[in-house]
Amino acid sequence: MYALASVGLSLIFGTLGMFNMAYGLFMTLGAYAAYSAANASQLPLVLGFVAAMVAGALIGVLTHLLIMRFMLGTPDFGLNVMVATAGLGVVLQDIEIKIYGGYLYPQVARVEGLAQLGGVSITLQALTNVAVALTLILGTAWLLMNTRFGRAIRATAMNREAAMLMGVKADTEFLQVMALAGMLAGVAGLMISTQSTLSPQMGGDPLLKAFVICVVAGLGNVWGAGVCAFGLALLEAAIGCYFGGGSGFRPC
Amino acid sequence: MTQLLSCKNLVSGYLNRPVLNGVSIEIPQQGVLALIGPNGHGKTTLLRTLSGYLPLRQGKITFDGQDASRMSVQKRVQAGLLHVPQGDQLFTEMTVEDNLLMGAYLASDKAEIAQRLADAYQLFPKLKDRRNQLASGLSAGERRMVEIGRGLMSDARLIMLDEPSLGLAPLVIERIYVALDQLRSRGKAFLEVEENPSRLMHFADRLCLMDAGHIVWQGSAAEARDSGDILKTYLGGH
Repeated sequence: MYALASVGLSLIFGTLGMFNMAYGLFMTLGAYAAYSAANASQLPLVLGFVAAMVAGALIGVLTHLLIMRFMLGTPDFGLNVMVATAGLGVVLQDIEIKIYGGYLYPQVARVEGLAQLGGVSITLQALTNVAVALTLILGTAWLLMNTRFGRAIRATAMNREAAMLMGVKADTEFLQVMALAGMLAGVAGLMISTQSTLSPQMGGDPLLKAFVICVVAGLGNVWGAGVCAFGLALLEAAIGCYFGGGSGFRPC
Repeated sequence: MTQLLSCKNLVSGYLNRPVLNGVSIEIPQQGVLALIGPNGHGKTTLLRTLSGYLPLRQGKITFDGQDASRMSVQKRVQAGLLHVPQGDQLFTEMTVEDNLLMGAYLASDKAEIAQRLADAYQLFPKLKDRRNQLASGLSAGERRMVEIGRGLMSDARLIMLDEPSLGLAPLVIERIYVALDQLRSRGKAFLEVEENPSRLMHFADRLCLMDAGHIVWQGSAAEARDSGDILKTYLGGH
């Protein structure tokens, strides 16, 4: 889950050269969307998952269309966007509090049950999360490595001027990356909420960790972000097990 | 025959500092126009303005009969106007082949792209051997080949080269220019910034001398040779 969040954040920083301070709220939004969709339908799992993806992608796209688009090409783009998205984060959080209240909810869209793995019991939810995270990260990697779309994203990250001169449009590029990263955030949020609870503040802690991971991995290094994220998760689990004490949510 | 590209009274620059103060040039359907002049006097700025990377403040650009003054970079690339930027502007952590394919970013016909790739490899056979290597691991000459090859992948009609010989060994420059000569004989037009006098005389049809954001002299390569002062002053003798 850290991995998903970090990969998305890293993708944004790497290609767009900006920090998205509202990213934590993208995650929360995904989690709440899944909750609402699951409550309203007969197929809570599938629909919740889809809702999280769509909500994340949608908020990413909206952020670009309503905010970032107007800042493109301004001299202090990085700083401007950082402040604007931080503000957006506050607004989104307040909207969530308004709609859902400030209470903690259990996530409805979840997998129940336990599995036995060589004498260790592990929740099916945890297994599902790992599987989904791996699938999405590998899927993103495949997209980046093997498609024309991915090639353009990587090219922009490496040399923006040259990419523009080849005909890559900055505006479209930003939109696509925000949609993709938003989708990853939405799913990450859903999975985090299955491991702990839903609350408007739940995105803050994973966001902080995602930042740490991105810095350790080298900003904009998507592969590194994935690897470091698993590293941090294992470290956290080990420390949690041997020394006790709670992390924001328990990885194991 | 009408000109492939003509621009009139271009004014452009960075933020509040104009660099071009009314530049007019014309490029025929075929052949090579070279820009010369001291550094910091607007040559690269002119290329960037023509490619659309820098917005035009005043003036008019006509490319292939269309008004291109307000066209996006993407539209200009589609129309066949391509800018190969100065000095090592590769996608370094991508393979040679991916770099080349980025050049064909706007093309969608797979067979067409494969054909262009084959053309690029034919022009620079060395790149074919290195197709799966990262661009960062290539020699300076090979990187320049990738840059030019990437430019070709867009199937441009006018290629704007910013100092293609910069920082290369004479033997490598020779090899680059053999390839450029081939392209020229296939009917491509070039606008190049070049400071290597012997290469200029060999490759360019016409020369434009830029100074302080103006074109201060232009003429054919032969005329430039005759009025030796110009070359001596700006290129350090011949």
